[in-house]
Amino acid sequence: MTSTRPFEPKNGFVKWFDRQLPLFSVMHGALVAYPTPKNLNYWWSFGSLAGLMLGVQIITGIILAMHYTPHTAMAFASVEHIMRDVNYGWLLRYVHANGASFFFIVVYIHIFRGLYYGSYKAPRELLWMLGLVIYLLMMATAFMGYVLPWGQMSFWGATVITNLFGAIPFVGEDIRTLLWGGFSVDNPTLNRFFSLHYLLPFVIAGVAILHIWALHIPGSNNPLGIDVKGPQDQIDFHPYHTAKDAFMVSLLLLIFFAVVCFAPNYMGHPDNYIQADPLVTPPHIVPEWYYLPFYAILRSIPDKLMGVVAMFAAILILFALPWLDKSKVRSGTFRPIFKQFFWVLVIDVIALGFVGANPPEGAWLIIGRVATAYYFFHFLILLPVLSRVEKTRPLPESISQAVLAKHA
Amino acid sequence: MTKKNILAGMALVVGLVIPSLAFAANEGEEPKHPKQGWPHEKIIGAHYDRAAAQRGFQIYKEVCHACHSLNLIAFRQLEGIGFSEPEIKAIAASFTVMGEPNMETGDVEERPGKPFDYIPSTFANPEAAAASNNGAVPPDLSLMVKAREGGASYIYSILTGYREPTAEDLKHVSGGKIPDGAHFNPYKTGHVIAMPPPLAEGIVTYTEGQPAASVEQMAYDVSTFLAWAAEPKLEQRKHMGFLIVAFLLITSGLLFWSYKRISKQVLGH
Repeated sequence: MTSTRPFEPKNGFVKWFDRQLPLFSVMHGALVAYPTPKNLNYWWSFGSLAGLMLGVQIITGIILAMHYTPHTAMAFASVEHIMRDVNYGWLLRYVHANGASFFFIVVYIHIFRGLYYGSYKAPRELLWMLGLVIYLLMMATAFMGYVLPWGQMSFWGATVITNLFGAIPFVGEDIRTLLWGGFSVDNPTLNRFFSLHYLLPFVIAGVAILHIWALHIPGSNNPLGIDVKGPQDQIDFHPYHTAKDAFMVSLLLLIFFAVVCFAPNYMGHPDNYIQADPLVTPPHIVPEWYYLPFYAILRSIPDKLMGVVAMFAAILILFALPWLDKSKVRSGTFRPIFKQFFWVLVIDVIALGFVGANPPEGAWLIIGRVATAYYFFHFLILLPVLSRVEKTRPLPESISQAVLAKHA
Repeated sequence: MTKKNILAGMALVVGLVIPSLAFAANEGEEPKHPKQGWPHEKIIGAHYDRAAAQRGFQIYKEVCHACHSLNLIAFRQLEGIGFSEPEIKAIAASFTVMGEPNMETGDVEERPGKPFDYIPSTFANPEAAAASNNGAVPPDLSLMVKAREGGASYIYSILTGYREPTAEDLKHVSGGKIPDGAHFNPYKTGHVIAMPPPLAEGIVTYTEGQPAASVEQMAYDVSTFLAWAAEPKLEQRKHMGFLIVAFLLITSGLLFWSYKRISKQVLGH
């Protein structure tokens, strides 16, 4: 992408620095002069919002780690020490715990935006796949983070999830022993989860940089899904998107702090305020809400190994999406049938979430199985067939023409 | 995106959050909690009823403490429910704690509590607690209000919910009868509770000028105290939340206005 505004620093220090290491011109290219399609809507702000939440998590996490003790005998009490004795420790912890949920909310919106507008299609396949890598890393990081307070759900969630790996043929038992650092979830497990929970966010940050890099090569997709034809279709990132994203950041923080300050335990589970006890199993072991659709898929398959395979396949299938959906038209706006089924998929995933939150019996089990079947049907059969047979609506000439027509 | 799509998008956000509601939901068996609307559950002006919390501490000390520990609370923290420094010193001194090793002999001796001490448990260790309570350790109460669905209302319901089971009640009890030494309580999962009814008229004498110590009043007071014990920074959090939300509402409005202005300048609409 060529910038419409070349980097011409006036400051002598910046000039000298940038000649030797073009850090300023790279930042200028990414945050000031990055040319974006003129017609991006508010859903395109969620990438910036995801970056913000990652930053919030890393900063609060680093400070929390200064006060936390990763030992089975002390972890629970050290979290309560943070809540009671550390200055604003309660704020840090509630921001971090709810920050994980909000990071996922933002990222789920970001992913579904990509699904609707065909942002995964050429020339952005790699960008999409890097995003999925971030998502997988987030799942691993959040899972290990939830273990650290060493409450009942921490312990039993860790037991259930790590046991899944035991279902893998031949190497499963060894992988599980390696995850545990012994023969059950215990102090070595807590220690390695703490270590990895501190490490992985920086890996996420690294992949996020690759994700942004891969974005800036082809440039952003847009609601019309058509290519940028020239400068008349574009606008610089600054000041337009900096102003727009600043508004969206403020709106996100408004909702976020309303939850942090007025309902900080709403998305948590009361059982996690009971210290982990390996001898007492809670009546219902449920993972955090952001895993529930996949947990539902896992439990809708009667065979343990096949359940694990289905659960991982549900995520891995998204890596193949650019090749499953062959439609030349990117945006769902111009795909009348695809559009309907997109919302069916949204409802399907939400339904799976509810199924995952309830015991796998009676109607829930049936709904879970139907919804799981639809999930795979959608990606493996519907999208490949649809991309061949669907009659798409005519695409506009160009972005600027469509924008002019809209505001005429 | 059209308006319809935006609405659907909002439904998506809500839909992603709501599943947490589903697994927060109870079995659907326990009756609704009779006591609702605690002053500390308000959004604006949330506060712990100080007088009730102080009476609740008296209940804890004279009744609950015989079996239940309160490990996370130090005497100094009682300042949070309005006890003065001399009062806290006196309260601490009324408990006996294990002191520090004697510098000359190395012996550890008991001494009266000091404000920096944590409230000592009646039992030396969990095994001793179990031995005195039919083999089960009475749970620590520091976080009980946050560890149960319903919060303070749950504690109140449990304390006031004891009654003789009817034939209909027993249908919902596993095995159809209450085991020996256990008690019927409709608010407990499974409706059977090991703890005998802890509160009874006249078990505690409140000081002059306080309300009469009825079972309901005592349950209200000790629930308030335990709510504070579980979340001592609640008042600060909600007060700060009000300021943050007000600030961000104004900021969001200003930022929206400035975004629209910039949009007009650089895009023309």
